[in-house]
Amino acid sequence: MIHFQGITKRYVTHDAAEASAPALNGVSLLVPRGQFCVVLGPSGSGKSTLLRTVNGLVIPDQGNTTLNDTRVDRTTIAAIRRRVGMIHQSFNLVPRLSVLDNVVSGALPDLPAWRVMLRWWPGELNRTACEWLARVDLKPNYLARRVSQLSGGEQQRVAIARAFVNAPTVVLADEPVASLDPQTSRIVLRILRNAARQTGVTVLCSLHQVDLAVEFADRIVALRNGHVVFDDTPEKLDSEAIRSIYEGRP
Amino acid sequence: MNNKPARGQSETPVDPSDPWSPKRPFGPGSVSIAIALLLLLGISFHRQGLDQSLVRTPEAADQAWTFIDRALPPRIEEAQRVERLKQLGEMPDADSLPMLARIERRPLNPIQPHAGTADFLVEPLGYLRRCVILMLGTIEMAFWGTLVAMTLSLPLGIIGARTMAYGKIPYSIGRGLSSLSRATPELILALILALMYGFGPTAGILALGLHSAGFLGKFLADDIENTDRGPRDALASTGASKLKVLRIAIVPQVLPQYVAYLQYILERNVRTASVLGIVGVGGIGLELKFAYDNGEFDKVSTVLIVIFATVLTLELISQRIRQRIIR
Repeated sequence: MIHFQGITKRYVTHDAAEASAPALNGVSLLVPRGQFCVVLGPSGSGKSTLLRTVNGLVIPDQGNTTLNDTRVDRTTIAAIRRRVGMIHQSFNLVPRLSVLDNVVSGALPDLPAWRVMLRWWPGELNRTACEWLARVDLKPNYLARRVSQLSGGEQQRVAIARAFVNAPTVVLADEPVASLDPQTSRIVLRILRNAARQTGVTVLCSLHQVDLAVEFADRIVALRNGHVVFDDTPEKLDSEAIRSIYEGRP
Repeated sequence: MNNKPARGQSETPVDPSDPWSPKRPFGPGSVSIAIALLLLLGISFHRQGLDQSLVRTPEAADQAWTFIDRALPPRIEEAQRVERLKQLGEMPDADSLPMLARIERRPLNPIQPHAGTADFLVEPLGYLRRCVILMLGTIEMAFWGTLVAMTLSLPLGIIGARTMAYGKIPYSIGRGLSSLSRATPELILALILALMYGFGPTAGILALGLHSAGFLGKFLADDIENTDRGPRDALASTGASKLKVLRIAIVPQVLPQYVAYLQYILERNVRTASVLGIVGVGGIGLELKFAYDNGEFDKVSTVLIVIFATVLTLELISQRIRQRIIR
């Protein structure tokens, strides 16, 4: 369960004229456990900022985010990050490492330092990583390949496995398919949603594609200029609602 | 909006009234800077006496011929007077001479054949062998120097990388020490260290290590700063410690380049170690200096050939290694 309570965040910029508009302006939301919640909104509407308050990459100026009744602040960040997986638009895998090493790297905080230094992973973690690679539909012959040799869709599937390998309660997906073609996007989102359903993980996923949001989301939240302008099931997202999200009130 | 023109471009558009007109690649400002630089270059040319040297070049070429004439062919054999060896107590018994060695009667001075003759112990490959053995010592010195440099450069590079965010003071220490060690020439370092450790390989090794640690540290810090942010941030967002992020996200990205630098530093240290001998830390440099001071230019050319062959061999080997590591 993620609870956003009156989140306001204003980025400090060097340009005085830009400083006036906050990225988030009093956003309150309750995302129940196991929900696949998609965040829509035009560029700069605050989607990424909202996601990043969950694992403390962004600390709000006002309001707070709680994760399963633990408030996200500087003292709890370390513990919370272990329970939150994250998927990024540009995959952010380590290019020169193998697929297996990249998946395992999602569990770094819980590993002893000497194992990390030697890159000598416990057998159980290796097995978990392999299970996840199978779940994201990658073949065993991919294990030792370098991720730089993989296609974009394959890399994002590795990144999904990395986000889930440490048994998170929440996975944040920050525009996970923005750099993929429509067909691959659908495959990647289906894998992500199925993984979340099977494990009961809450997913907060920002997207640019309305059709994909309608197809995969349990719930759609739309942001515009830092305000929530739509919050309902995908069926309620009609063309008028879409217009109001992307063009403002008609 | 940032309306400043790109660096190196003049601000004056070709047609100021047309907002689409492209900017001139250079204007009166850059032309006058170029002229001023040329003028400075001309003044400096005179101050350094380069104009006079240019006139003297034919004369200098003659001197070069004299050197080449005396340096060729390179000295391969070693001939020592038997009488002198006996005085030093280093003359081997007739039945236990070194390999290929023989005793031969030769004129005392090859330029004046009438000055008399004496017995010489002649080793046909003796001088070459001596140079190779000295070179081996020099390579060992360079190798240890590189090892010292590597050990010192790791902490310097890591704390000196802005993106590692260890704070301003460690950053300044890392960058400052790197600059300081780069700015101190090895010859000076070796002289100071020789006061501490005496004239010997230790002073040479530490001089090489301290000096090249600055290069390696700077290169490593720059490379860490230039690594892709994405993987670093992704692993940091899982809550992994800085050390673990360094090991998993940064080391794989900087390792190939670091190995390449390491090989270059080793090669460079071999060359420098050859010269360091001149200040008395041993190795082939001392032999080079003796030969030069005695005017035995054929020995000088042997030493130079051995150094050249070593650097070339090292380059060939390191290319092979690089191809294996950097894939």
